Amino acid sequence: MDIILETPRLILKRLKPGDESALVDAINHPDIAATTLEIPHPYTLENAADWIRYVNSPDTMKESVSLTGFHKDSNEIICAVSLDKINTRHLRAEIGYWCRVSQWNHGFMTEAADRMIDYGFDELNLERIYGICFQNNSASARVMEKLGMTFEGTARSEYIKNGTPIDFHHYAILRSDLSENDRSR
Amino acid sequence: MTDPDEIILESERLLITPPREKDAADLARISSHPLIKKNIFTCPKNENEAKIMISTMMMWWDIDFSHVFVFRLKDTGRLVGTAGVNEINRRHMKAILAYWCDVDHWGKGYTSEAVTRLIDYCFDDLELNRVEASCFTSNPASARVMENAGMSLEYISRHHYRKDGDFHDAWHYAILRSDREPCKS
Repeated sequence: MDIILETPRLILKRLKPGDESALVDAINHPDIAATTLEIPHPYTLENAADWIRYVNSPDTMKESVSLTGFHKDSNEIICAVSLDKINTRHLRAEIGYWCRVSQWNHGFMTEAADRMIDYGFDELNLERIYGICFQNNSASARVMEKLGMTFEGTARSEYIKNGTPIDFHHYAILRSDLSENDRSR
Repeated sequence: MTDPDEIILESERLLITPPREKDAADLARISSHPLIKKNIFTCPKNENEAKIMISTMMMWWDIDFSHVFVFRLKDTGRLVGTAGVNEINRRHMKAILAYWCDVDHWGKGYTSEAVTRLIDYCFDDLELNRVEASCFTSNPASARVMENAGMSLEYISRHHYRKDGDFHDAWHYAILRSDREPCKS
């Protein structure tokens, strides 16, 4: 199933074969690798091809919605946002995202993630959407705060990156945190 | 891989071993209590279901996904509960503990004793760095087990679990290898 979401400045859609070089152009930056667990630097065309195969596989689509934000004017890839670990028993999912470094601080990440949260509550019928960030990544924490997510606590040494255990801040938003007014933002 | 048949963990009052098919009747009887069913997700309804559950546990042991144990009293041999190391994650050197105890034997510290022993198993035998556990916030007895075993409360996730149509908040606890007293490490 093709999912296409729209925001004021972005079209969010699943990457397709052929998008490899556009993805590399947007994501290949040490600051993105430094703030995420799974994104390498340098990021090669082969990494991009693997990723595009992964997001289009039926197994992935069963528990993930992984979309990429293209700028409506330039058609350039600006950011990506996903709902992963979609759990239909407990009605929760984990939100994750990254943004092209040259476009940081322009509100794109919040714009895309906000649309994805609405999708999670309205279309996937979720109750809870949670997100985590490296404890020193205040920019990511600020995105979650702007999205209306609440800080729930910090898990120590929750994941290991390059041999170093890292603490993660946990945030979440519940369906009931959003009033009807908020929903029609 | 260690052969589970060769694993016997011991604490002051308990023998802790992998479950055997002959334990099925005890597991079914203990988990049929409403106070157990209220707080855990997978309760065998009868001896046959318990047998299936035990064979599933042994399969998980084979693929190193989880190591589930039963614990019994040394002096009488009576089976009083289970405690398992689940979702073993070698890459991030962590796992999640789960446990329950026969309601007739609550309040004697058996579960804390078993969990404390399993935490040592996680650090010393599985060579993990972090051990997590969580419970409903309506279940302070379970939280006390985690505290008795030296675990710390890290975050509270709202509406984390859905059970019988209702959402439940969860307390998330963890202990790190470095939290243990120096004499043990």
